[in-house]
Amino acid sequence: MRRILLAATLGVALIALPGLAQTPPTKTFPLPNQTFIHDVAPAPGGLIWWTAQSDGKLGILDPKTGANKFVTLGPDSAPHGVIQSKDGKAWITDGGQNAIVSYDPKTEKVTVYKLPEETGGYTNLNTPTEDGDGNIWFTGQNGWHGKVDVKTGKVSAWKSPKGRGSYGIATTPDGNVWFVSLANSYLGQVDRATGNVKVIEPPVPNTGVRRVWSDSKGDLWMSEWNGGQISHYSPSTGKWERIPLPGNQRANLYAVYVDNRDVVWVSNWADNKTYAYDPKTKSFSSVPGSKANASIRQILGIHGAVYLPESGNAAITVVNTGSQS
Amino acid sequence: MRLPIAVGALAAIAAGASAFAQGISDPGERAFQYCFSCHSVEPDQTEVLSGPNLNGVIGRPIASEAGFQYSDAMKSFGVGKVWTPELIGQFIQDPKGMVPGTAMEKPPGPRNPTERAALLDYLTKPR
Repeated sequence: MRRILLAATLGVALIALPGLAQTPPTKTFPLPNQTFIHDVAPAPGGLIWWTAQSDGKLGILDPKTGANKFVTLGPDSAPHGVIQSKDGKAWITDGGQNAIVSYDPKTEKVTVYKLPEETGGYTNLNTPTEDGDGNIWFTGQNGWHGKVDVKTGKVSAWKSPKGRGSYGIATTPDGNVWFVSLANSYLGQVDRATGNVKVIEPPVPNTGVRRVWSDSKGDLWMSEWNGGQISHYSPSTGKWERIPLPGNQRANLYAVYVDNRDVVWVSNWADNKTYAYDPKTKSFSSVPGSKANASIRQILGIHGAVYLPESGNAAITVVNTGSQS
Repeated sequence: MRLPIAVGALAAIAAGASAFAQGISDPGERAFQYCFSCHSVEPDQTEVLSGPNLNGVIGRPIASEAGFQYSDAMKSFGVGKVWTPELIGQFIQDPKGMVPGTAMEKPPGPRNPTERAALLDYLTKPR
């Protein structure tokens, strides 16, 4: 009954897929054209932050009204990733400025933390994450990872093992930081004291692990761009698992996110769908792109909702998972 | 099996630190850093990259690298065309404007005609 009410509220139909769980209700918010949304993050007050990569701005969507506001991030800005820190600020990886940029919605202050000069001016900054101490870690796809010490403002950067490819990054519940290399297909465990990285090789080479997310137990879930499967690594046991999408279809998995129920979400560019995998029941459901070529490059959410930024359609689709707690 | 901790800097040197922008004197190679994370110009590339190999791309039929999964948009756009310096120059300035539906993101550079010319010259060099 609750699901029907939610669907009516959002004005969408529920579709039952053979052998799969029901498709959850969704609502799609169109964004201004040419802004090129890349990533999204929950913002305080029920708002949604999103990076407008082509415009060099942080977009702020109010899902109640569908209206957007914009924050200018600086000259040459080209933001890629965005997260919300525990103190309610936005932290943005800004490739155009080769800087980490913070935005405080309380004061509307924008602060630019430039990377050290030894990074050469362009690291292709990718994704941020907040560690257990409140510091911001980041990846640069040209082969860098680094940290902003939020107390001192000092930015440190280290060359990642094997060179280019440092991509998705995530924090486990114990506060530690992990990232994956797309180009060199490994999981990296960061030593937060030194910046050193322990390389953990997946059992199958060259799967192109693109993004990573942690579940509530600290297990890591990864999207395989080349291999097309979900990779699962348990640090406590050292065991790997690979999960194919239903039907063993060709897949290119870009984004991964684990929601508050420990359901694993992955976007598949090959069939323009986002899949939700429940490890407890080993079952899948799926959400189609709102139009063709949604090109979802990242996923994030809050309790009860998952945000899908459709870079190909200039839109954000919000999936109501009905798990508000 | 867990591998020993690798010090990032040492690992990068082993992999060829010349790939990084730091200390790169060739203006074309420097400009190529905007492309570097997704493309290689090396004929023996083995990494998993999001974009096609650009070795010999000038004069090559568009969307023609064997084994690379091009978007439908790029395949349609490329019918009967080859990459010229002019086309590549236009494409990197506005990928989605030129090929709506392409997977390529607009890179933040090259940022001026000099950088763009250096990049195109770099892509033209035989390897």
